Amino acid sequence: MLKYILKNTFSDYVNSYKSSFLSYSWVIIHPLLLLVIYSFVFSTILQPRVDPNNGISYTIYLSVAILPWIVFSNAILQGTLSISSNIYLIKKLNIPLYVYATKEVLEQFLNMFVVLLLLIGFLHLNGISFSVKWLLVVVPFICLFFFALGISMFLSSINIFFRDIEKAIGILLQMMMWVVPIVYPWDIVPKDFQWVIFYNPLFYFFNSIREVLIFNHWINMKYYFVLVVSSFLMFAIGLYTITKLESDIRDSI
Amino acid sequence: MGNVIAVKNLTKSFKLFHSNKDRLLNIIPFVNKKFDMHTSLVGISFEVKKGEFVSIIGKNGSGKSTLLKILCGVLQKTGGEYIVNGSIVSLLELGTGFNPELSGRENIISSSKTMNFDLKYIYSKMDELEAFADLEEYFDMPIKTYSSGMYVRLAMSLFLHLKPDVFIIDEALSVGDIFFQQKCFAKIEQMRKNGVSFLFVSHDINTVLNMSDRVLLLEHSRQIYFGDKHEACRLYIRDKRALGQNKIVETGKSSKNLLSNLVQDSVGLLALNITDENGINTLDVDLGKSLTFKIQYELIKKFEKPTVSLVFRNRHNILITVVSYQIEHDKRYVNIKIPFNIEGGEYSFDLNIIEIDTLTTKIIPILEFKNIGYVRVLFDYLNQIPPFIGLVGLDTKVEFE
Repeated sequence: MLKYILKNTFSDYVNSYKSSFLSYSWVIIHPLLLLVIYSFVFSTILQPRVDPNNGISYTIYLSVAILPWIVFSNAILQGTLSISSNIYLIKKLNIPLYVYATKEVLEQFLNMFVVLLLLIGFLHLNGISFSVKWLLVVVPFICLFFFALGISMFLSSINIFFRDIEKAIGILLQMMMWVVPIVYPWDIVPKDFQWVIFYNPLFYFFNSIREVLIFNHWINMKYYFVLVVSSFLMFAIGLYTITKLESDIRDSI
Repeated sequence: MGNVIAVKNLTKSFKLFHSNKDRLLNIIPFVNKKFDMHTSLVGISFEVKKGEFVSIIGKNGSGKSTLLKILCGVLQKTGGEYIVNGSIVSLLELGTGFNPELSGRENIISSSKTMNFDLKYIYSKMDELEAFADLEEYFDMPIKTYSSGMYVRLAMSLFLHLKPDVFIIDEALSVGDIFFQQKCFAKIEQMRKNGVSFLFVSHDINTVLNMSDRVLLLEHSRQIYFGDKHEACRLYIRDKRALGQNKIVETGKSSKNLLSNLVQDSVGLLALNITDENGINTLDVDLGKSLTFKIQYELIKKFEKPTVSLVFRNRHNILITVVSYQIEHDKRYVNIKIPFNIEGGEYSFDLNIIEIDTLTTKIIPILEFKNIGYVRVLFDYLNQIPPFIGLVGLDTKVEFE
């Protein structure tokens, strides 16, 4: 099955931009535009409120988190639709349902490589050069993949019975972007609200990426623990749900 | 020979939940389950041997499709057991994973990927497949430019070139024009000789009788009979009281200028006109009525026994009859009147001039026109009682003493 997933993900990926004019450049254009908007709003218009320490410019601070976030949120968005938009295939083929979700999430995560290259180039331009410590971020990225996959498997199977989920997921992801937080530093949040951030496992993913890439810090062991446990848990819940519901989903589509 | 498919006491029921909330609660472990059951298959048992052709018949809603879907693995069984030894390919999957932006060739590859077929094997068969689909330059054009017939031809040729152990066919086979159908049936016959087993679902009793070794009859989710095809069809017809589903719509296609002149140095076929009993050019005929084939010919060289022959085949590529008459050298026209006492449907015909060697009685073809067109025999099987059942109505006499 793994071979099937890899083979199809790749060919879907190649074919997915076939009919759009700018084809693969959308992978870069979309995050770049968002980056421009946010950095303009926050560093030019709302300047006084946001003040990241250590003399790092806001745009860098933002880009490190928002670029992976875009891939992550797209993966969940598409992953949630993975069963409902492939009903015509599921009705005909003897392929387990988790394959469809995995394929979709993997396809989006292929963009992560492109985005990371973009990010490294961007950091380099701003005087932050490669260090060996950067290899530490491999763990958060792998965990992020399994986290997204778990959520996608869970939501895509529930979505067959409650189509509200595919309507709600877009705005929920938007909200999550502000809660994590992606677009502003977490330490400017009033103390009374900071617990919201600390109870959110996603915070540890993006903060560890930030710590390593910008500040060249080690990642706290507590962070690693949270990453691994939360992504494994999410993955297990998703896989359990999708296999448990497989028979019901096939009966009702 | 071993069984390719063995089904024992197979049962399928669907859970009907009162609300989606109940359904969701049901996935949480140790929660009491509230739902009604709707059974759609009860106690099905049969087996398919290697190389065997098994048909499944039954009214709409008798569970035929559900059974096939379980065997394909698209639905999951509720009870009983089934074993499938080997790979299954199903025509239910026809055209899955086709992308309108890609060309025919690219689609063959990409949909083989989606359906998890062996890519190396597909590549090795690509030329054969291309020839079979007969799409010419369209094969390398995006399939959004295809007509629906071309689309089906592409999809069918992919499926008919696979090498499964079991091949599942449903009504999808009755698509495309009659010539393509004949090609498909010929290919199926060939696959059967190579030891591929078939599972066939149809309402068309004649096809079932024609092709099957054994027949499974389902009714109201239950198995009524499995075994001899004649007995199964008898039980089915008795229940149904109507034979065949082929409802034919009249169109009145003209038969003028069917031939483009073909003249060789020795012989020429100049024109073919087909008229009905009222002298109107047509290719449609009511069952039991006759058509006159008026053939204009020219014999330039001297032949010993020149003969004109008309070859009729039905949509399963089965030879119905060859009508042949010796023609004379000093005449220009031959009129052949043929009464169509055959089952309603479409029949392709060839027109040949042949010579029969009197010494060896061998047939030497001189001039051949393949698949000139098709005659449609019309009969309203739904509202009228047919004069005969089966392929051909023989000229019978009856006397009482």
